[in-house]
Amino acid sequence: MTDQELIIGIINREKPVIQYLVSTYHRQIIKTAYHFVQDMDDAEDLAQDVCIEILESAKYFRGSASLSTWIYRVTVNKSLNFIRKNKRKQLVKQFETFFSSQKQPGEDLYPEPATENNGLHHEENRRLLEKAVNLLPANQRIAFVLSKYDELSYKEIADIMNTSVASVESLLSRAKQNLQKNLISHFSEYANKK
Amino acid sequence: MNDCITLRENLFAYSENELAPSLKAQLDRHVAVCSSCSALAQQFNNVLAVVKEQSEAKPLPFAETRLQQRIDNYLESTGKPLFSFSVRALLQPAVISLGMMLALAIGILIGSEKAGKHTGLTNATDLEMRHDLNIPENSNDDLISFTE
Repeated sequence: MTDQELIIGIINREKPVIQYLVSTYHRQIIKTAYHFVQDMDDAEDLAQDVCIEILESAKYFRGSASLSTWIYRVTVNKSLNFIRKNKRKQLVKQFETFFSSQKQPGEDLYPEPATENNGLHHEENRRLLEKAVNLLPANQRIAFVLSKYDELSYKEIADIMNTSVASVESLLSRAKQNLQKNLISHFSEYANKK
Repeated sequence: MNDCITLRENLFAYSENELAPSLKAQLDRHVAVCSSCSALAQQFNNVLAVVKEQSEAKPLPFAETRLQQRIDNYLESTGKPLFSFSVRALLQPAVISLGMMLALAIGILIGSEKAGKHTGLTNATDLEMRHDLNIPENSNDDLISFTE
């Protein structure tokens, strides 16, 4: 089924076409959303939002990019909006944690790094990486996630972000530098604490 | 010490084997003898390993079925409405106004019926009073306008 046929079927709310859309793209949508929000249940909820957005906006799809690229765009936008909205919730949670356990706010921002010696589960490394990635500016984060997690080519990322390949290269380079700086700084802080 | 700085500046590229072979070899030699740089490279590799692991993440079982069900529910709940929004926006106040007018009319009807019954009683009393005062029944005079 071509992109055009899919779009026409979606506009006409043809059930087999919508089933085909969900069947073909649900993995891509859920995985990309998960790479941003780091929670599979949230990613599934976002996938629903993405599919509904596609059903509602199909009539505006002009075909200047491929359907897959457009779906990536919608997924990235929905995921970033979700993270933005959740930040407020997380602040409230940190506030509550502070008063309930008398921890310093932000103490949990970076967990202890997991090494072979301290025997901590790699879950800590996951949280550490998640926090470091979330500190990146939005554009650098999108480029990093799509490149490293979704393993897309620079050209594909450039299409999704509606920019040039050179810009993607630059964004990725800065993202790596920032991530490296954030992680090293955390490792040093942790070593000093010890 | 210089190699320590070089490693920190190129840690990402070093971990991902993206450095020029000569620089890579130089840093390999340094990491082999510098315990702090070795620990740093190890920690960094541990964190980056998570990226690889997460890139292979798979949706939960039956995610497609659940998603399909949610989309079906959405489509059912948003089936074509009988009237468009603008028509509904106009019809809604009109229907409410009509309802209120109907209620008012029923109220008036019930009220006037009761008043009618009350008037009947008054007429009976009126006749009795006319009889007591010797006023003819078919007289047009008002009960209270006595003639001398």
